[in-house]
Amino acid sequence: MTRFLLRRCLQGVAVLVAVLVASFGLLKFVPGDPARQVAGTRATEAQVEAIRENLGLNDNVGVQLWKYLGRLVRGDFGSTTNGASDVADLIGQNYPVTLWLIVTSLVLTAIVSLALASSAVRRPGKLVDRLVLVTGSVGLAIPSFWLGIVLLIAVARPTGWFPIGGWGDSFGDRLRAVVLPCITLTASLIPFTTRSLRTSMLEVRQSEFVAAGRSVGLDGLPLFRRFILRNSLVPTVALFASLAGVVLSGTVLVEATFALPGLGQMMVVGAINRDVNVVQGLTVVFAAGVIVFNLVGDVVVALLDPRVERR
Amino acid sequence: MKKKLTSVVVAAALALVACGGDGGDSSPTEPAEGTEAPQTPGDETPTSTPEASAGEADRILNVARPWPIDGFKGDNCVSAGSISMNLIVYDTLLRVPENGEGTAPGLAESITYDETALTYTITLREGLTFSDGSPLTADDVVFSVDQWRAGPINGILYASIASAEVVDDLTVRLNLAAPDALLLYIFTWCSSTVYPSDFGGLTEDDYYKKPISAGSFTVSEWSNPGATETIVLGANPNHWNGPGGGSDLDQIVFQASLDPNQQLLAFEAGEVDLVEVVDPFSVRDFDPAVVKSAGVLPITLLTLNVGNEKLADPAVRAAISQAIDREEIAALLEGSGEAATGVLPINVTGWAEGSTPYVTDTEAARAVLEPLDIDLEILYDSSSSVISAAVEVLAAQLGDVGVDISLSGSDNGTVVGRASSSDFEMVILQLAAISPTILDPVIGLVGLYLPWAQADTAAIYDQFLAGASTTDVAAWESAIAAIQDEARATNAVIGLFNYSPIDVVSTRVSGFKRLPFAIWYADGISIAQ
Amino acid sequence: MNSRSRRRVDPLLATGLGIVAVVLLLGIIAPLITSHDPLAQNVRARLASPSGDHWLGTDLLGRDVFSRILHGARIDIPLALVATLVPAVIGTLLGTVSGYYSRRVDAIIMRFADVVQAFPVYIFLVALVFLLGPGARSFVVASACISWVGYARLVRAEVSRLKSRDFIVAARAAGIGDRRVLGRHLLPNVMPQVYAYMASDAVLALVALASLSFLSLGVQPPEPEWGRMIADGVDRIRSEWWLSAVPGLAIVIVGTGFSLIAFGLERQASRR
Repeated sequence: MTRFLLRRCLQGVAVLVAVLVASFGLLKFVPGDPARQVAGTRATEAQVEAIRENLGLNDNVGVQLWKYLGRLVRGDFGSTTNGASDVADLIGQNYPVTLWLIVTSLVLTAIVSLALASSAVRRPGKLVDRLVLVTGSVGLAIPSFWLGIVLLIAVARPTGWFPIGGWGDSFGDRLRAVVLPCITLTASLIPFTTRSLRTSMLEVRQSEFVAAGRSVGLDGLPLFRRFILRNSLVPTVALFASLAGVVLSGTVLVEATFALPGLGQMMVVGAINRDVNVVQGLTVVFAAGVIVFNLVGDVVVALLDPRVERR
Repeated sequence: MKKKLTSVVVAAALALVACGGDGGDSSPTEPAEGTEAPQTPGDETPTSTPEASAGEADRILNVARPWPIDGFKGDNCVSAGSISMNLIVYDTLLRVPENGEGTAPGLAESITYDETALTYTITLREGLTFSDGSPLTADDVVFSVDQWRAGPINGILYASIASAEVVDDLTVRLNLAAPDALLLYIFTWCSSTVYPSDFGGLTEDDYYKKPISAGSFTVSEWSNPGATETIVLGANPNHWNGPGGGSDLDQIVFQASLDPNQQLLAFEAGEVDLVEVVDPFSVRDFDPAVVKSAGVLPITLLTLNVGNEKLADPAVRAAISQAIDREEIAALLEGSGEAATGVLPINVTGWAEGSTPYVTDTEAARAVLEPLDIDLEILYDSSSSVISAAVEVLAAQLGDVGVDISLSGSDNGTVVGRASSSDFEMVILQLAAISPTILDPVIGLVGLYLPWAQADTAAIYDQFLAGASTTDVAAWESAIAAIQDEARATNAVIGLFNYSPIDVVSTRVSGFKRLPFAIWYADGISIAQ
Repeated sequence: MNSRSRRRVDPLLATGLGIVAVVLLLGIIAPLITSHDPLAQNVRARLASPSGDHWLGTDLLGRDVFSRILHGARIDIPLALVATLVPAVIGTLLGTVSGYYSRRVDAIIMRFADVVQAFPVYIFLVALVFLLGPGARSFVVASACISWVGYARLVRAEVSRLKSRDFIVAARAAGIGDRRVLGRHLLPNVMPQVYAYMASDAVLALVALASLSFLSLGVQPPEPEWGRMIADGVDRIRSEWWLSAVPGLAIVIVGTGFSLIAFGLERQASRR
């Protein structure tokens, strides 16, 4: 297990570095000049050039990348291109909202898809099963940017139960603020995980060891908990982990729709401003998030299914 | 090799830190500490309004806005977010009067320009203090002027200043190296921010995180700087125009976020009192009493790359201009703007119409353009609904006369980036006045847009110099009329419409007025409970 | 029994195919249904409410919304299909290579997949679109760059699972060449799952296209693309809500069609 973990960790770091290098290269080719963005449209070429020099943008790309990685290793994410704030500080202030959104979304996805899948497989092919299937098809197809606005207009405004966008200070306020964004984000995830769970639950139910469990008198909930759930979770956990990237990128649109002060909106504005340090800093955080998520997924799969470890 | 390995290990540690953050528990990881850090310097400085932060009787103006500030450093001020913010937080030596013409006293009672001695004499108001109660004197102004001049971004505005010296506690003299009549207007600008000398003993970085300042409202809290920042301003009890600049507000809370629809919904729900700069489509059915448009209207220009072979022929450019029905495009603006008659912002001192107005002549345009069978790309900033809609109408109009238009909507960075490297055929650009003289946007034409379009600037530059050498408004007007005619003759920039986004203000709020040049002062605003 | 179940089309699959086909057909015969040109503007008669002439009213520029919705099917559905097909081909090829051949090639491809997966999608899209210019081409390229990973992982897992099965081992032992083993024996067993995955990927592609156009990075105006129509209509959502609701509904309907196809194909694949 330790060796397995160590190897996956090292792989993760290598992937992270590769992502960084790739995004660094990509950003260099995108039209738009960070110095021009700082200087404003009114600045003359001479001014822009001075700022460019000051920001080190005239160095060759390799040198810039090397310097950046060097700073990163020291935990220095740099400052925003206009020098107004420290990127690490900004990430520190913005990440809790995004984390709230992600954690609540994952919890909601897990609970709802478990409930749906287990009620669907009780009588496969019957009404409930079909209903789950069809609503899932619809859910999958709802664009989140559209659902968010619809929820604001059709739910938040008439009922007054939820704030019309924005974040809160207290735990209760935050919980209220996160409900609709969370639904928006999960509407397209739940069908994925539900379907995967349902399929594997059906497979496990028909397998030999469940029959064996039945033969020794296990039935109902104990059978479900001890055999069916545990074994059918394996592929779903793997799927869950692979959805991490989708969830993270989903926060970008959802945060804008609901005016949540998180990393997603920060990324949008960072990209608009060609703020290399902000974009790179967030790339590190997002990529690390996905990698860690996959790592945890691997570990959980390994724990649930000892055969996996040998691979 | 060893070094490489170390860096990999550290990067792994970083990844784990991020993992701790993602895990959702409250272990004191690096980012969590970061949350506290920016508040530390602020905690040591006395807050101006401790009493204002308690009690239900707080009068708070909640403002929603689409963009963040550029930071509190005056030199960084280039965008609309900072233009209004800096003037509220710092105030300026001179102010922009309500009608937008000339200047009005601010922190300075008067500033006089001596054209022969090449000096400005600044006389401060008596009894000025910063929000922490310390007096604002000539020393602070001299210190601030030195900061402005040293600025890498806006420093160039103050290039004519050779030195600043203290005459007495209330008087500062600026010695110029060259004549500069425009400087007077620059004193109203958001980069002319007055700081306490030596930043009141703080480090520069700490100071700009929570500046001690002399404006009508000062910074109580600045959280999540950037796209989603919240800025809480508290009324300055020591402001020269009375506490909070004579407003009855205790606090102004600015909340930035990207989605205007969410902001308007929050406005309708009463959660927000003022939404800055929304497009006119969104509010066409709002009560007219809450919709406020600005007086000075920036111009939206179609800029044609003269260096492109398809557009090199002046007859082609003239025909393109003829094909445009500006009235039809202006009909989109819901009354918050009008069709362009020239290439400059309107309602600015010194503005004048050219002698040959734009004419729409579809037949004549078709006669020139249809045989050529050209296709052209229009590059534009698609984040603006007004521009996005206008450009579609424009494309249809040009399509009518046989030009095949492909639209290329992008973000501001791409548009400006491609435009400034002359990598375009046609691009939509906006030109605004940021100080109360028409000569200021001319600088934008001569210094930026025309060179980007690879067009000749000599004729317009000569007129600009003729205008800039004097403060005589009649002389400005004749220079501007000549510039409009020159632009109309060459058609490297073609005026489309004059338009400014609008503000939505709750009827509970009185005294809000957006002045020209994206400014508003907090002085005199009140809010009904 | 085998032949019978193969001949009988899964009802979900049939329903899904029916939905997509009907919407696509409506798009194709749109000029027969409505006489309004989807691009014809009338700025002075904009934002008209639904009426006998304009069934869904007119948009910000006075264009007929109903006609635009119908014509949107010509853009959204084919583009979603192309953006599914391209990564499917790339991913299936890479996945096969990865699963069938040496561990080294496998490791390279899979680490590459890890990098793509960990790359923040938004940054990638924005960078790519700004690099290539907005439009349908950028969308397809972006899909090809991102979505192949799913196919590669799926195919790789299936191929390496089947590789050790008796019938494959026997075929290889009998000296049948790799290409033949893959083409005749392995892939035919993998493809049904790829088809099912493609159908559900088409849902994602449809939504991704709309999202990209919503951010004005996708299909450029004046083309009547559904996501762009939602973006244009969102400004008016508090009164003329149908401007954004109807194109949204169109996406949901077609997306549901695609995902029903996916369920159907999946069920057929597992039944075999």
